[in-house]
Amino acid sequence: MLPSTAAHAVDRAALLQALCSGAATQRSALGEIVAAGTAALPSDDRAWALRVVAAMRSGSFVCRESAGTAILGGESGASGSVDGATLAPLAEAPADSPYVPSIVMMRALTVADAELELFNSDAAKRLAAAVQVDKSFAALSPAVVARALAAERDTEVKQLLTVALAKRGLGSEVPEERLKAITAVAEVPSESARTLLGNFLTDRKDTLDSASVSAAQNALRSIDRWLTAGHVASVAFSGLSYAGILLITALGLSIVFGLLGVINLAHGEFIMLGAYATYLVEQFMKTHVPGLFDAYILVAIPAAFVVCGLCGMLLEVCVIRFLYRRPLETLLATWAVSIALVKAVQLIFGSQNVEFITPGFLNGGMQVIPGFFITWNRVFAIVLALLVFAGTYALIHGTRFGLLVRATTQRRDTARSLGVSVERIDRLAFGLGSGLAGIAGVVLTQIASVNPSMGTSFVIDAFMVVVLGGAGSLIGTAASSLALGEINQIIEPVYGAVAAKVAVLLLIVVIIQRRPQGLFSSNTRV
Amino acid sequence: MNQPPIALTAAQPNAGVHAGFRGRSWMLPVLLVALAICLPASNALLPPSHPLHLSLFSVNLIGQIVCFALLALALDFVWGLAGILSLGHGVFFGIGGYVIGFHLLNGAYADTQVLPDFMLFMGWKEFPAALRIFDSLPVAVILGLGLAVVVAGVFGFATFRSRINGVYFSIITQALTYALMLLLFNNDLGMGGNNGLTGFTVLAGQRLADVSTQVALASASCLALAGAYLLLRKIADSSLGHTLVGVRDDEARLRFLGFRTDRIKLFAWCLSAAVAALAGMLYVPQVGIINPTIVSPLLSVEIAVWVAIGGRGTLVGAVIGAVLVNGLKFWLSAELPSVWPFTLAGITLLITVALGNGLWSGATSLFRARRSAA
Repeated sequence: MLPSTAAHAVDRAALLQALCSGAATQRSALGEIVAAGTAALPSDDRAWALRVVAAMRSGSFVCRESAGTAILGGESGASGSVDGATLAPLAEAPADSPYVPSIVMMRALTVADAELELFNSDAAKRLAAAVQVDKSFAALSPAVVARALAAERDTEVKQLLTVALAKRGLGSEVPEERLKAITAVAEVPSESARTLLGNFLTDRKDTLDSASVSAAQNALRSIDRWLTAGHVASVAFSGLSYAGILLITALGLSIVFGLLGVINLAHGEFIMLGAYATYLVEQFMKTHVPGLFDAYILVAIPAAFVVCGLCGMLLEVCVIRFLYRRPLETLLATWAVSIALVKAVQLIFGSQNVEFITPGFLNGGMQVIPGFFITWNRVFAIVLALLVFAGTYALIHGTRFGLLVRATTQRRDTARSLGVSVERIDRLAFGLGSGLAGIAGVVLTQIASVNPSMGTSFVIDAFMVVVLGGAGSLIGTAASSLALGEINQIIEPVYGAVAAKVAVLLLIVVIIQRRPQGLFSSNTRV
Repeated sequence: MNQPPIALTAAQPNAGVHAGFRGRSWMLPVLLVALAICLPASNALLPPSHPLHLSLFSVNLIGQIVCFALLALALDFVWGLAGILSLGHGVFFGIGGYVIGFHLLNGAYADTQVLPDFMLFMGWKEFPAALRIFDSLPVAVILGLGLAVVVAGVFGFATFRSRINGVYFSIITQALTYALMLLLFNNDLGMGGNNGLTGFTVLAGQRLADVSTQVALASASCLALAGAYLLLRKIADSSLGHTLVGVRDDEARLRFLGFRTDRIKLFAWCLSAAVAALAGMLYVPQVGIINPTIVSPLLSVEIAVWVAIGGRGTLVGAVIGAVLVNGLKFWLSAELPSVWPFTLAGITLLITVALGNGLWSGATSLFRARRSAA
């Protein structure tokens, strides 16, 4: 006797003997093996049960005339073959031919395997098993699945198992069973649960008692409420994340536009430069500090800010400052800069999309309520947009530099006569606006495709935000990003992206009829 | 010119209409008419070996560039004179182009009895009856101009009435262009999607592939440019034109004096849109295709760049700018494709920063300075 036998909660040899002695006892024996393998008691029964089931499915299980069962190992011969009950190595290969399961038995084995896998510690394996269990719900063992459900933490697996159990329960002829199943389904609202109950009501409407019908109808209503809530929440969330992108792209533009009255058509290209700066940081970290690779996105934020800020200041010194009295010509000059930047980046990096490896902590997401799934990269965009907005707001409204910027924005000549170096403020503010565009580029690497011509599409949206919000008003920029983001995401799923863009444009034209300087206009040079 | 030119420039640094070469406004149309005559003559009469012989390619190129010049002229009329910078003139160019494109599709279908590719993709069994209205050329031309005027009118009415001007107006026109481009890229719209409209064969009974048709189109473009120039010059020199310049320089004062500036601007805006649509109608048969890239925001900004390089507010400058930039573009894009964007950027920066108001204004002020020195 091997010492491990002592830990066995069941008589393995007897169960295996029952498996080998004909169709009548086979099914119940398999059920008991699964029950043993999934029992809450800590034992090695699960591994054993899995091994037996796997062997039976693959045709390497042997019922011997004498000396119990055996599991063949690998090729022919004795090497690797073990005893079915003790899993102890066998001295000689079993002479009998292996067990060949019938189709019915094969199905039972598949379910048994899935049921055993429901207790795997790997969540992905559990999910796959739950899908299998759900698919063959008619053959599942309610006790085992209920036990798995009680121990389960993953919402998706939980949902699948509940639905699988409920499907079985709904098929029952006992009204109490059906009611229990309906209640269980109502607790996991999802599209599949809704279809399940809907079909249940239509398929069996002639044979059902009134209690089941009303319970099912109530459950359907409750599910519908949850699904609507989930849908609303997910639209609101995607609107919020789009608003975050808009905010972060428009913030720098708003400062530059409001303060300097400058239309910076190269703003989109600064976003693009920010994205490419992120790419360089990513490449550097990959080769030089692979250990901290996931942090590249955090390192890239200040890097992109500095790179784009310096580029912006350079542009201000070389071009913009000669054009302050002529806003329309600034527009053309910055357009010229933008096409040159696009072409330069194209020549250096190529015109194809640049691939980024998503940092681990931005991968995936989680389900908040049924039908409402948030992804970490979107959360990152929202959080970063809020942080950048808060930082910019604090800078403009809480520091001496911000005071000078506001003074210059509102009364340029007065500020100058009071000794403010407005040229310096112009330069720094332009650098700040461009730096913020760089940070927008960092966020967009995780959401949009990065290529040299990516700037154009963002800059037009960003301009819309600024026009609607009122140039130079940070609060206005935030409010109009939120409004445009939400409106866009409400329209887009129904009528498509183009309709959303056109609708937003029309809306802006209409609003501007009432408030030509934007929603939150402040006294600026524009 | 009895007035001292110095005083003029000092008081109105951008007084384009009144600047230089006044009274010589006949020069450009005469040149264009001469070109319209020389193009067919040079192509048909001179042997190919002759140095002055223009090949089909050259004639076609000249025709295209003249269309762009017409487009630039349209923009200069609203920007240079009335101070309305549109970054959406590609929209009107595109409207003209698409309307004439549908007319040409009608012709091509009658000619070949084969449906255009995009209609086959959409599963249409026959040529849609709604598009039959473009079958007659005069109707198509009127519809094209009319549609451009209506779009411009509605948009202009809404924006001018609420006194949206300056950069705000520019940004909104740019967004309009962008939205229209996205709309046209949509394959389900039934307007050819990203492939656009192509496969044209006949125009007004003439085969488009024939040399004579292309030469005639190029000549017609020259004549259209000459005509449009004369018309816009006439308006610019009239009291209406002076009012437009007034709107540009101080709209509030004009409004205070009782002028309905929104209506004046609307008129200029719609007229400009019609000219731009005409340019599109002449352009599409010469290139044989129209697709959504024609209304990309990039091209619409570029039109403003042509005008800025040539010199805005002078009408002649717009034509010069468009011809120079596009000529250079055709040449450089073929010879050194990667250098072209840098060249264009360099020229634009140089002119906006250093020269202020473009080549033509630079040339005229030089001319004036010489004369006053002498």
